[in-house]
Amino acid sequence: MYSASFSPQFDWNTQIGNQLLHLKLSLKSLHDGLEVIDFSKMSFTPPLLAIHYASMINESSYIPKISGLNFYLETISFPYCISPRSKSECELLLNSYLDKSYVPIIKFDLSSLADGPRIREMLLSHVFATIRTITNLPTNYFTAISYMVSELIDNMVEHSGQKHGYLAFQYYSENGFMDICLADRGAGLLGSYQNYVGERDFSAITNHLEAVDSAVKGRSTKPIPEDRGYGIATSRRILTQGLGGTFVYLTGNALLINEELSNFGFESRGIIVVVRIPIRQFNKEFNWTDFVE
Amino acid sequence: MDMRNTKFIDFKELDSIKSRSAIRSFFEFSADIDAVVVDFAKITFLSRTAAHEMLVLQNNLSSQGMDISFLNVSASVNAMLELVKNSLGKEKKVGFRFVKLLTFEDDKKYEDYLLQL
Repeated sequence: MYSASFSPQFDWNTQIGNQLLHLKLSLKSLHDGLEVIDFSKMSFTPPLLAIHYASMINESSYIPKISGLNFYLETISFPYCISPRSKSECELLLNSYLDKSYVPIIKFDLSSLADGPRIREMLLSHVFATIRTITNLPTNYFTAISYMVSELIDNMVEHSGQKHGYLAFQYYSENGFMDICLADRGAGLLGSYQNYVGERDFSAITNHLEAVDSAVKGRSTKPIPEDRGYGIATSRRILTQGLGGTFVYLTGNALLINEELSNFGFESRGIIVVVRIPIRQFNKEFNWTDFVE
Repeated sequence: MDMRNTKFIDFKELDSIKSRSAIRSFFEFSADIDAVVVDFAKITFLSRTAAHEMLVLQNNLSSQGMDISFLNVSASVNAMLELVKNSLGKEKKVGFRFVKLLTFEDDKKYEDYLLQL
């Protein structure tokens, strides 16, 4: 019998592993019958958990009552996020965060039609610029991070089948790293392969772990496959080998941490990505082109 | 060149293009266009997928007899276009794509693994 209310608890902890364990436990309690989610025991909500809960709440067929939001959660526009649709709206909403270590959770349009792509480009450009200002990123790092995050977002646009994607960000200046988190609650990698209609045969991909393995190896459902399928592998390489960061990719019950793939034990709908980038010291010689095919 | 049938694309107010669909959205025009001029003056970043889409469109339009030219391409945008051009038709590198499947005896061991992060 599921409980009608859920009160997650998380205290200050920047370790991704701890955050993933909390996420895993939360999947036991999050269900469509929830009436109340009380966040008063979340004394710290890192971007991974903020985006996990925000995307679940926004994409749920039944919106539970939300209570216990502290000042930080309200400041990051949790759980309903911000979705500015014009340059002036972006400036109005984001400029106040230039002196902070985070941005509000961004809910962006995944549409490929009409004004969707242009609005998304404009919004993400502002978000990236805000992140650059907050972290004082040099051009070589900014380009590399733009490359990675763009590839991952384009995968969401092409494959998720959903209306919205989500972005969260936190800069831990004393720890010397930043987290950019992305999420959608769409088809996930397995769903993308299963929904594929075309000449290629993906029938051998029957579970989430096989789907992740295939995606990393570049087996794309997009047309012209031999020229596609670079996104995950290249983003991971730039991050882990180029920047010394950590790449976390969760879809269904498949959890990829850098090159290690494991069964997470519970299924998370869609995809959640964490890109953790150390930025205590910037390497002037770093060139992202050294890490791409 | 008959200027009346030339489509000028300058990506409006955008300063970066990060997706295929964004590129495609600028290439919706009528069949009587016989030339396209793409001005990258405002574009400081072009993602790999956007660059690939740009080159695919360029190739498709050229094969239809349409003249397409790029203007004011910055060094960084050119680097991305060249990267994609040079990777076309090449095999993907195995070393980029290694995945190690881990299995654990029990939940406690899995928890210990996650807590190392």
